[in-house]
Amino acid sequence: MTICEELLAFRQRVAGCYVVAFADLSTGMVLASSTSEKVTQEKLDQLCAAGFDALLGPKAACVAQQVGASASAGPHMAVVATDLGVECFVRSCHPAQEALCFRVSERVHLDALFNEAFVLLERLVGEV
Amino acid sequence: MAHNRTDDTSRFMNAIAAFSAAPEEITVYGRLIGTQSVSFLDAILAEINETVLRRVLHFTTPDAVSLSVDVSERRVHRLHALPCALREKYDYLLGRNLTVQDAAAIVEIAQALAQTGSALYVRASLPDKTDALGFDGLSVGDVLAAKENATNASDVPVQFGNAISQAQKYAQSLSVQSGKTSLVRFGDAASCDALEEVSNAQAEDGATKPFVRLWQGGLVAEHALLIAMMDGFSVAMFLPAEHVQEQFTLLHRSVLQATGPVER
Repeated sequence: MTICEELLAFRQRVAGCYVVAFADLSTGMVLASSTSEKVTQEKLDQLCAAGFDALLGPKAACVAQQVGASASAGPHMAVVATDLGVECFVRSCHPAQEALCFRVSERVHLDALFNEAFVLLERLVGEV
Repeated sequence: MAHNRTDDTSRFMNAIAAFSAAPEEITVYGRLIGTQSVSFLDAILAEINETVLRRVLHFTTPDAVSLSVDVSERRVHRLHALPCALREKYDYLLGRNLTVQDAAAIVEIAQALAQTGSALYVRASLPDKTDALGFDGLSVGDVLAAKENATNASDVPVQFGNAISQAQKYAQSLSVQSGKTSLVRFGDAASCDALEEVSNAQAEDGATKPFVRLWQGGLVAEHALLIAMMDGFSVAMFLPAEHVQEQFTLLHRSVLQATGPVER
């Protein structure tokens, strides 16, 4: 399966997932995506930027510093819910900085999403 | 020449009188439109909504607290008089053309009026000046929307309270703040301090819209950190991963959906 096919299969498997993007957080580049309806590249770039902010930005650094398992390791998963929707982010372990970024329904089951996402991410990072 | 009614006119007038509602009580203050059992704001809005031709409506309570508004085509265009207690705060509204941005102030004024008396009366008069009112003004819908927002804002502490009482069952530590002031701390002091540090960092980010944020994976004891912020209040909790879904859903519903429909 190609990366796009993997993303499509993931989105179809996880209920309430509208957008899934595979991104390189270090460069802010969306490498592949699958969406349930047309989404502009600008929106995907914004999602990727939000992922960087939530997982590697100053907020995540503060979380790592205060409650991180180690000073160098930040959180691997983040969810940001605003009045505009719910966005989830899962990143691979350092030093690789690939991540999966999702836009999901507020009723999505987070545990199921994160478990599936980690498996997919490990597979995708291995392929890249 | 003296005007004599014909029999037809009398019958017509009698027919109209028969269709009329029961006579309303008229006092020296005007017509009674609100009592303690009726929302004064609703009564004021109903009166505005029934005023098509330009009139100045004077809303008065028995304590002589009054509010005068210039109304035309079911829209409030100007304020001419305010209750004394509110003059200092809302003096800037007097005499100028009102816009949608003034709706929240109108709600607050009407609610303040409601607290001053047990009855509300209205009387109408023609405006002193008949200058054009322009196209601004507030519709009843604008005021109702502002009222809805005001209601949501006042519910925030209650919603946070519900979330906190649920969280205490599972959270290892929890902190509730108003701005940077601690309101509730639960769990060990060091963990609460850490939660407050993270909360304050979120606030310093300049975020003004309500949000819920969750971090998980790579944290102490494989726990998760959940933060919700709304209207200057924040709740931060450090909890086992297995309870994240429940707490996230609760905070999301209580905090975010209070502000309106969640869109995709």
